[in-house]
Formats: sequence, structure tokens, C-alpha cells
Amino acid sequence: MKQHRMRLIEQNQPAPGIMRMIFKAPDLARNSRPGQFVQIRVTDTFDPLLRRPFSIHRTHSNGTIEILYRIVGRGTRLMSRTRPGVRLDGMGPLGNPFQTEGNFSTALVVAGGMGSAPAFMLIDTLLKTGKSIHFFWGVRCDDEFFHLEWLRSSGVELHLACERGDTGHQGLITDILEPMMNRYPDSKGFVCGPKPMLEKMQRMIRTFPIPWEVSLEEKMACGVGVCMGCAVRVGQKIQMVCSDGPVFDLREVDFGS
Amino acid sequence: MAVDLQVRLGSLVLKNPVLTASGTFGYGVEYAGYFDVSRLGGIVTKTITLEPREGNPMPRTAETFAGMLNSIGLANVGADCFIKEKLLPLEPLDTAVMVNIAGSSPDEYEKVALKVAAHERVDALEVNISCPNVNKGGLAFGTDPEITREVVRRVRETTVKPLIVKLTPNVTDITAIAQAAVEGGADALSLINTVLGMAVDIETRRPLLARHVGGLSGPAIKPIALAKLYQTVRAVSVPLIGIGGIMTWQDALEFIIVGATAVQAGTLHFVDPCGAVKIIEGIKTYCDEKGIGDLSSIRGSMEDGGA
Ligand SMILES: Cc1cc2nc3c(=O)[nH]c(=O)nc-3n(C[C@H](O)[C@H](O)[C@H](O)COP(=O)(O)OP(=O)(O)OC[C@H]3O[C@@H](n4cnc5c(N)ncnc54)[C@H](O)[C@@H]3O)c2cc1C
Ligand SMILES: Cc1cc2nc3c(=O)[nH]c(=O)nc-3n(C[C@H](O)[C@H](O)[C@H](O)COP(=O)(O)O)c2cc1C
Ligand code: FES
Repeated sequence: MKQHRMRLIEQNQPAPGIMRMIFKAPDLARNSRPGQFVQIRVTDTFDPLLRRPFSIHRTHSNGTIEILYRIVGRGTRLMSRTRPGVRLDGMGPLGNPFQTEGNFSTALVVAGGMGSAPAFMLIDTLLKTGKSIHFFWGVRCDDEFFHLEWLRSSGVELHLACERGDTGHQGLITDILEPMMNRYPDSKGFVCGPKPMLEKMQRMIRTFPIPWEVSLEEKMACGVGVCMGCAVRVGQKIQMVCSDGPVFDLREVDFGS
Repeated sequence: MAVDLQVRLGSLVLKNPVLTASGTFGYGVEYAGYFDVSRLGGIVTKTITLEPREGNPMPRTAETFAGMLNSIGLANVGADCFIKEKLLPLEPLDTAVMVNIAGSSPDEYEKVALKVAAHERVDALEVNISCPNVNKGGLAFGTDPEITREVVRRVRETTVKPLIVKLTPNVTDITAIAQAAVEGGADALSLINTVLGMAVDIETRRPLLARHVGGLSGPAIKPIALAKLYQTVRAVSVPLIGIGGIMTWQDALEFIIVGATAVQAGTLHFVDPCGAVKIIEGIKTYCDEKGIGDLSSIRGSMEDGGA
């Protein structure tokens, strides 16, 4: 938990509307675990005022970290125009990571939309543990897929779905996951994605007794558990997504709908 | 000669005038990993109520131009848990601890005050009669001089420790409330709490906050805070603590020049966790460069006329 002057060394666009930033930030790279996030100050001025939270997408042994983000508003638009050499102020690593250790032989990683951002660091970490990995990746349009060749060559079993395009299944990722789930009794599931997908996942796993971890998102102000702004009900208790999560037991989350 | 930043709030001596605002600094140690909290003049805790509170429905924060709205709803662990768990980590800190309290009736204010003020680590109470995000108590009390006087009087009876009363800007005449608080026994006043505000998503046509309205904070409210301070300085003679949109040392000095004895930074922590320390450094440098030996020589030193 620290403040870092992260130097942007590269920014590119792996898919339309989606940007990847690569920062030199050795401390952060060394200490981050999958599922954790960084609160980035997008400007030196006070408008936009608040930091923006982003999952750590990947870290590398050369002291760099990557974040992957979709341009959705003022903050991300400003970020997309940031040039290499500029230093951005990032607080992190924040939150609690996915638990990748344990007695399971197969990991089911499920990502929808920008859920791919934390999913890659999770996969990087799982690969080192020698577990077999099934990656269920759903996007709106198939031009949002990237790194598919690398994933395949790393031995990750890919299951793709898109609502538009012709890569993989035409539809939702949950469509292909549901009939397959019972094939992997000795497994652990990890899921990150938009709320409707998470709610559907929660219903689907009722009859599938493996542990499932979920990474949640909420609007954040402080990112460190002081403002009480990012509340969610988990297992009857009010928890803060930023400091008690963002990773929770999927079965215990109250999506409140 | 280096400036002496020490200031007094009643019987309480602060090593410098920069404090943290309630609700933006947790229970005092959450930011300890980012800077040495003992450098602050003091910390003000999240509002403590008699019973634990979960707070309002989500969403309860939203960003607006140069500001943010919140309707947290005084989510806190409650007085008993606060005393049992949250005070101990504050023991080793070399800074003043002020506990912000609230209740839904004068009776409840008195009960929380009794529990909290007795503890040795508590240097002062800040009485929150100005929260816009609860149905009972809060703003409803801080907009009525009679109830203000009554609440403060009841809390006053529980302790001899310094009593700070925190005022809302959401009134026609802040000086009437300020005077009532002083009559009730306040040793100092802090102002302002958040400004009632709102924002709407035009796509969904829903308000950004589940509770529709909330409290605006951040740079956007600084001019409002300065004007309220300016009015209050003329109406009462107790020390005043300026709050509202303080992001830089220059902002803090504006409040001091208008007449604040101390200042609180709130939303700043979310933007820059080390921001309060930078304010202390900035004030020091400003005073040293101008040969100011003591903050009292610039406090309330505002000249007439426009710049
Ligand atoms: C723990 C966490 C990790 C995240 N990781 C990623 C990531 O890896 N990649 C990525 O693209 N996005 C991620 N997000 C979402 C990201 O923070 C928001 O997209 C971003 O803050 C929007 O900023 P903006 O100024 O561009 O948009 P704004 O102008 O603020 O808002 C534009 C839209 O984005 C939504 N939004 C704003 N803030 C958030 C938020 N904190 N969470 C969700 N939606 C928000 C608003 O509701 C609005 O619809 C994450 C959020 C959290 C809480
Ligand atoms: C997220 C948030 C929570 C707050 N909670 C409290 C609170 O519990 N009690 C209180 O007296 N003021 C609370 N406040 C108000 C602040 O203490 C302060 O008066 C206000 O934010 C204006 O200062 P600022 O512009 O520096 O933030 C809160 C403010 C914010 C932004
Ligand atoms: S964002 Fe402030 S508590 Fe989570």
C-alpha cells in the first residue's frame, strides 16, 4: 500500500476502445497479486477530482506493470491521451488478491468484458502453479479478443463467446460454461465481469459444489476503506469492496436485485 | 527564525493547525502506511453514533465537477466497538484525537458523549449537527438554533474536554446557529459540513445517489465555506476551524487569513493521501519566507477592499 510515481513507457490499443498502459513501477510490480488494483490519479489538477481504480492486468520481472481499460468517460479519455514519459500517481496494490494456492487441480477462470483485465494476471500466476487452466472469455464483439495465440501456446484451454462476430460461441459465456461445469469436480472457479453476468453465475453454481471467488467493482472515492462509499452486503455483513474485497466468495455476495 | 505553527482551541494545544475532516480519514490509522500521521495537528474520526450504522443504500458517492457527492449515512462501528477497538491504535500517535459524534435525539448525543469523552486518548469532541444524509438528527438539528443550543448544552454537561460544534452551510443565517452553539457551551466551531447537492444521469433519468440528494464536498465548495467563515468570524469570539474544499496550502491560508484558527482537509485525502502534510509544509515555507513568526499575526488579517 503505497503511492507510486508510475512512469508510462508505452500505451497501445489492443482492441477498439480498449487501451493498455505499461508503466515502470518496480515496487508495485513486485508486490502486486492477481485481483488487486491501483488507484490512478489521472490529472495533476483537481478536475476530474477522484482517482480511478484499475485492476492490475499484468506484472513483469523487469519492473513494469500493465493496466487494461476501456474508454468510458472523462478520466479514461484523459488517460488515453497520456504520452510515454509522463508519470502518473498510483496508489497500490490495493485490496485482497485471489487465492490461487490450494488443493485444486483445475482452475476455471471466467471473464466478461473488462473482467479480462484481472484475468490475465490471474492466469499468469496460475500457470506458475502448474494447475490446468480453462479460460472462459466472453466479449460483446470478437475484435475485443487479444493474446489468443499466447494463451493457447501457454497451454490454457480457451472457451470463447461473443455477442457479435464469429470467434467461438455466438452469445453469452455463461451459455457454454453451464453445461460444462460438472466436468471439473476437483476445481476452483474465479470470475470477474459485469454485474448481470455475476448474478447469473451465482445462480448457476448453486448445484456445483466447488469454491468460487468473484472480483467485484463499485464506484470508489478513497479506495482504502475510509470513506465507506463502496459498500456491498456479503454474508449478511456490510463490507467495503475496496478494502474487504474486491475478491469475495461468490456464493455470499448479495447483488440486491 | 522558523515559524511556530502551534495553535489553541480552548484548552487544547495543537502543534499545527492542520486537521483531518470527519469521514475522510476513517478511524485515524488507515492512511498510516502513506505518511506519518503524527505530523498532523490532529485527527478527527468518522462520526460515532451510539449503535453501529450500516449507512445508506448504494450508490452513495458520485463525482461532480471539481467535487463529489456523498450520502454515506454515518456508517460507523458504534460507540462501544469504537472504544474497544479503534482507540488503541491511536495511543502511540503524537497528535490530537478528536472524536466526532452524532445522535438522533439530544438524549442520544449525550449518551455517546458520555461514553466517548471519558476515554483518556480522546482530546476533544466534535459534535456533528450538520450531516445532510440522515433522516433524524444531523441537519435537522443544525438548522434550528433552539435544538442546537439544547444538543450542545447536553453534551457540554458530560465533559470538560474541548467541545467543537460542526456547522452546516445549509441554512439562511449561519451566525444564528453559531451563536446558539456558543451559548450551549461550545469551545470552538468547525465549518462547513457538506453542501446539499444532487446529480442526475440523463440516460437512465435516475439520480446518481440512491438517496437522491447528498453532500457536496471538494474544491467546488471552497468559496461557500470561506463566505460562511467570514460571516461567522464576525458573530462569535470562539476559535473557528475552517473546512471545505481545502486542497492546497494556499487554500488553507485563505481560511486562516479570513479568521480560522485551524483547518480541516477532507476530500483531499482521497486525491492525495499525503496532501495534509504538504499543506503543513507549505504554510511553514510561506511564513518563513514572509518572516511570520506566529500564525496569530496573520489570523483574521484580511484587509478591506478587492484584490
Ligand atoms: C476495483 C476496480 C477495478 C477496476 N478495474 C478496471 C479495469 O481493469 N479496466 C477498466 O476498464 N475498468 C476498471 N474498473 C472501472 C473503472 O474504474 C471505471 O471505468 C473508470 O473509473 C471510469 O472513469 P471515467 O472517468 O472514464 O468515467 P466516468 O466519467 O467517471 O464515468 C463513466 C462511466 O463509468 C462508470 N464508472 C465510473 N467509475 C466507475 C467505477 N469505479 N467502477 C465501475 N464503473 C465506473 C460510470 O458509472 C459511468 O457510467 C474498475 C473498477 C473497480 C472498482
Ligand atoms: C465521504 C465523506 C464522508 C463524510 N462523513 C462525515 C461524517 O461522518 N461526519 C461529519 O461530520 N462530516 C462528514 N463529512 C464531511 C467532511 O468532514 C467535511 O466537512 C466536508 O467534506 C467538507 O470538506 P472537504 O471539502 O475538504 O471535503 C464527510 C465527507 C465526505 C466526502
Ligand atoms: S472507496 Fe472508500 S471505502 Fe471503498
